Amino acid sequence: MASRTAKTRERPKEPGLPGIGLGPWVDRHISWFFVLPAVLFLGAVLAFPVIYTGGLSLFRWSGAAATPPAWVGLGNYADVFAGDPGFRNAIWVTAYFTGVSLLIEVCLGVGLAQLLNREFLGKGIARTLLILPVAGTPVALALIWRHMYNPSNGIFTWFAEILRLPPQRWLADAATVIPSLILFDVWQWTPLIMLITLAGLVSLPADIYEAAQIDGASPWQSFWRITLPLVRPTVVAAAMLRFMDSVKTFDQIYVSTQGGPGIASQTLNLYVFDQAFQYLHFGYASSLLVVLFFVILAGNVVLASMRRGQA
Amino acid sequence: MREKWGMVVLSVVLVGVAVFAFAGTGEAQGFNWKQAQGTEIRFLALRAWFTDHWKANLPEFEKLTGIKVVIEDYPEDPFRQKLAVEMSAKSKAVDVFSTGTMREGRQFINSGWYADLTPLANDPAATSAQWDKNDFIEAVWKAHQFSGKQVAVPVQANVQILFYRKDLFDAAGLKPPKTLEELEAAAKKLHNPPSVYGFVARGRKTQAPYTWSHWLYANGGSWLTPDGKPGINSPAAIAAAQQYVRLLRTYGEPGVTDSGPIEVQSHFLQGRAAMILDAVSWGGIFSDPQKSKVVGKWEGALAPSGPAGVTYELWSWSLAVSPFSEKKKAAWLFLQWATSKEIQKPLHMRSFPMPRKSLWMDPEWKSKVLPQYYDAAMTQVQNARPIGHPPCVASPEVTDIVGIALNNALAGKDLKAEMDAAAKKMGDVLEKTEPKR
Repeated sequence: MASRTAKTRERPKEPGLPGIGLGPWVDRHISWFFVLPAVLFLGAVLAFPVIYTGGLSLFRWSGAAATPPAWVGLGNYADVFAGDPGFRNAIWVTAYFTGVSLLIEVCLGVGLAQLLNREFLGKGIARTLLILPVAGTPVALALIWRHMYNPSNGIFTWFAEILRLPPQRWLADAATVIPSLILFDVWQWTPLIMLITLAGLVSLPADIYEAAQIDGASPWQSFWRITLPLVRPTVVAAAMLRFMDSVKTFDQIYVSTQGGPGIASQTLNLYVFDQAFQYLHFGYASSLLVVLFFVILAGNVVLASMRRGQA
Repeated sequence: MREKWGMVVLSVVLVGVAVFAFAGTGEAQGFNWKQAQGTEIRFLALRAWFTDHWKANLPEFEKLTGIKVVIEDYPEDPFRQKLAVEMSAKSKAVDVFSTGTMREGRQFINSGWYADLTPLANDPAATSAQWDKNDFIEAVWKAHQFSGKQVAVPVQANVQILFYRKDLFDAAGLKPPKTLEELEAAAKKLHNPPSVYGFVARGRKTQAPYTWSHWLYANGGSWLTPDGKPGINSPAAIAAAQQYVRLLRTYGEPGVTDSGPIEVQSHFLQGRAAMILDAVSWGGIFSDPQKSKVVGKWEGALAPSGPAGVTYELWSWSLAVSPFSEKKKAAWLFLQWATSKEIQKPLHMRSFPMPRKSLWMDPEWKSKVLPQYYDAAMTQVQNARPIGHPPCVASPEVTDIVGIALNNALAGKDLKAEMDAAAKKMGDVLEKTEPKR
């Protein structure tokens, strides 16, 4: 908006036209001056923490008032990659949790969107009910799920008893803790994928489907050959959103398991939290954050390439 | 030149004496609560029942002193995060904060995050005679001193006593266990899952070490060896861990690896635990018919002893003053008010154990609570020591290391191997973080 106004302003070159009187250079580049405050502000609040974190990752610092940060160069990174078992575990847990939950959420979300993309009685109610979990506060929901997973009196334990399954310990067992958390995540976030996909589906042109129908395409064929390729950019965008959030998931896991049992659900973000705010290894935690940043970046590059790729 | 300096020193001394004398007369005529009138202080607080109590009574303090207090409270984890960020930035905006010196005391001292309260507490101009620091239970008061410096003032005095189901014990012809061996035998006899579990205690990685420390010291172990090395895989410590893990795996509840104080408390409230060893402060809740199914069915007893006797572990939340605060006097006035007898009394009457002798001796409270519970609580709090957390700078980290090992053992992994690995890790951490002697 600002640049368009500036261009119309720039065009007439006759002298005497009202500028703001700060000289011709300023007048010519006036559009930049309009956006400058916003750029500076964003720069300060977005770039500063990133640069600060990057800088801090080169020091060893416990936050002590008495001892200043000690320069260790890339020492923290060497520690991260040289075999910190906590870090390796965190990477594995994060990949497991994010990978599986993202896959399920995308498949389910697209399926649900497809179901909702037609007229039926009670559609509005169904849609509202389905998106309710997204509106919930993660911490409150995590507390509720924690109760539901309680091995002695939770509702899931009760279900398992009715179904005559062997007793499950859900969050209390290293083998089942991540699947249990994935179920919670899928319940909460599938609707988001559904919602975004639905928006994409609604905007698809109807005439292609008519043409396909005339050519004798089955519903499955038209879904697989028409809907999916057309809606793919939307789905990938939704998946990218979920991916970034999922890698960073903190509150749900922290409240429901604190990363336990043992370190079986300690994702990268939980590990960073412990390092920084429980143990006060600020430098080391910063280097982990930088690594986390690149993990998210890499994941997004992969997802973005899927968006551009051919079916 | 030298003479001139002499004059300066002399005049400083004279002024000091004058001020002191003036302050002395001030105290004789009644303590000046208005000495910091007009200031505003910020209190970064843990969200807890005591904080709620201060909040509710705050207008009284503001009227008494003319100091405005902004109380900003958060649940434990966000609170710690916020505090760490502000303190590491040497923020002048925090004046008073909640702290658990038994857990993070050495870490904070090493970082220079506590103001030394000793001079303030000894200054009659700054400290009201009515506040009476000698009324604090000695063991609890001393637990807040590090190398002779008072770094915080306790706002509670929590010990872990044995809560047991008297009805079940009577029916089985059992007496409350005096030793950990007897506790195991009683747990075996009363274990009747899923309606009643024999013994329920904390198993979550951040929580297990605190309760386990009772077994550790009762077996003659300790967190650190006398020369400052990890003590958690000594024969005594291994024996302690074996018994704790065996008890909870054999006679505990199925979710033990994920259970913290809330779970332990709720099992007892619901009548699903025959015995627990946990916070004495829960006595009030257990006797509350609105919340408890075991009213009239439980009693308290001394935490059982082990082969090496018994050490009662102490825990308390406390209040500290930030060394970066520019309003330390006002902050100190708030601390005195918040830990005064008048403020603590209503809490103690609700069975939240306070650190003051006069309240524990209070006949009103004594008549309200169960007799055995009273005796056990009284004995333990007077002899309690801060052994629930490892006494080192990296205490939170070491606690987690030990907690993960115990938690893995509770999940069925090899205990000796877990404790050995934890001891090695703990050694590395101590090497990096302990100040060199």
